[in-house]
Amino acid sequence: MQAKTENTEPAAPTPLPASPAAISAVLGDDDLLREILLRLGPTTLVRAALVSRRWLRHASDPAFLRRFRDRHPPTLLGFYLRELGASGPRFVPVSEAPELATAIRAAGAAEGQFFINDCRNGRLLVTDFDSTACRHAVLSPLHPASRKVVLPPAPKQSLIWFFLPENGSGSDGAVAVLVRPIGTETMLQVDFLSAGSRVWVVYRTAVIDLRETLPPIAYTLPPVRGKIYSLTKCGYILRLDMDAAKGSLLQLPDSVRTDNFTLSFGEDDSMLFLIHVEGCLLSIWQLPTTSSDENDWVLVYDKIHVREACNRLEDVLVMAVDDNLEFVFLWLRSSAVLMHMHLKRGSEKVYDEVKVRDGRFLDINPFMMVWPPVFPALREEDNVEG
Amino acid sequence: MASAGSGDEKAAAAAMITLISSDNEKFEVTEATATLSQTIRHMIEDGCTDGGVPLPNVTSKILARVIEYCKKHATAAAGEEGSSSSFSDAAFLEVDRAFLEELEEFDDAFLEVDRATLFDLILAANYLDIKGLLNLTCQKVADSVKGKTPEQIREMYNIVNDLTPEEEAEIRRETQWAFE
Repeated sequence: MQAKTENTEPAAPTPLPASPAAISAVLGDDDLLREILLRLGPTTLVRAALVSRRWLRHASDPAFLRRFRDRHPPTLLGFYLRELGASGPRFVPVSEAPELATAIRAAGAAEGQFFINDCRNGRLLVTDFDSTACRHAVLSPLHPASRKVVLPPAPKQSLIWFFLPENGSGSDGAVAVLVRPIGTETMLQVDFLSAGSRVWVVYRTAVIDLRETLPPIAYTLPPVRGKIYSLTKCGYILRLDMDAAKGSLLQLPDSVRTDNFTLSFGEDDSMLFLIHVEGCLLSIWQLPTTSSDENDWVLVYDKIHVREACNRLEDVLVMAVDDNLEFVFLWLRSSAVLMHMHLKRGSEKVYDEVKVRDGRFLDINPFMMVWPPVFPALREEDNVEG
Repeated sequence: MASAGSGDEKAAAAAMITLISSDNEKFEVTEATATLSQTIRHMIEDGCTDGGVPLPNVTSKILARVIEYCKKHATAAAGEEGSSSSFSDAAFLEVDRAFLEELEEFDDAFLEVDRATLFDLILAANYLDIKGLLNLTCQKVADSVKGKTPEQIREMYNIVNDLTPEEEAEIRRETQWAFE
């Protein structure tokens, strides 16, 4: 019937209308399969990886995962909140995406008597009060069946801080930064330690002359690119640079005159951000972590109105910010409730159900979706064509 | 000069391309509609469209749908280019939004097809290199597996599971957060 067509059809393709052949033609084409997988959410991607060896190979390909991440950056699942005196934190969901519902349920099921020291890529480094001795442990709420990893007893020092390893470092234990004044009061020995199976091992040391007495430290951020940033109680930021064996005290931006601010690194650790609130106005500065200049603060958000606070005629305390620098968590002083502000969308949400007596004694840890998914390497991966 | 200009425009607007489906049906479309397909755009640039463009991979049924999509989106593209000068910014934004909403409604209605047609459209969009249509149809397939288990996805698309039970168990262990 179609014989009369004079089209030059090389090896006649199969133009069967509405045929299941089209389905296998699409799903059998590597490029098209990747295009479809790319448009899944993170949870469905993992489930699709279990469909067959071929689907798994595409879903676990590093180049594909990079494209996937560009399209779907890891989002905030929610936050762990702990009030002073509470035995452990509770989890408050933020994302309402159905795609993340199973991950959120898993995060919410992580309970125990602990205090969160650090929180990164789906894991929590905690100080555990479960046993008689206080000890550090790593929890993986998104892997409910995996056991709590208890870390060896830490060196008994006052200036020591514990963190999860940097993303992509391949380590799944914990690291510590230990600062000890030596000799004259201005000399510091800074050690990086990692948790071995039985003891903490020093893997990097620098001796730094601060040229002045070490000020008391309020808190310390996780080390990035060989630099350690600490907020001092004197209104400076202490920066210890391991590579240059150099310490410096950074001024805060001029208009930051109160301690109502929080510090955070951006997603790629190239910037230190300072999120400051005065009354109901929020401003953000950034300082490149690569900069050797001591006072390179650039204003990136200038006095944005926190509408909820303005409407209620009350002040807010800034509590925390997520890794993407999207959600800023705030505490409304008079109403005594938590809220967040989404910086990019400009949207706000008040957590009326989360009553907090005093925001000053509150610990909030934003909890991000884990990335990338870990797929075990298949045996005979290189030989099998599936 | 003005008349020459409008004459050119008329000629451009009137430039028609003939597309020939695998079952030898002919479709007359404007160049603006046809060039949403990069494949056809290149053929026009190379001057090989005289006597029609044979599309041996696309049936008349699917080609008719593809043209429907291209017509709508070509109009949308032209509308966006033309409307800026005569409106204030606010009015322009308003028109723009209405336009986008209408386009979205069109896309949603356009995708109300059975599964086999959807996959035929993907093949056609891929062959004709129509980015918007490929994105739309691939997203529709992706949406169809959201919330499904691996077993359900295999069943939907008739895929044979060649993972061993041990391998499956290992993947599930590493990605527990994706499962109940």
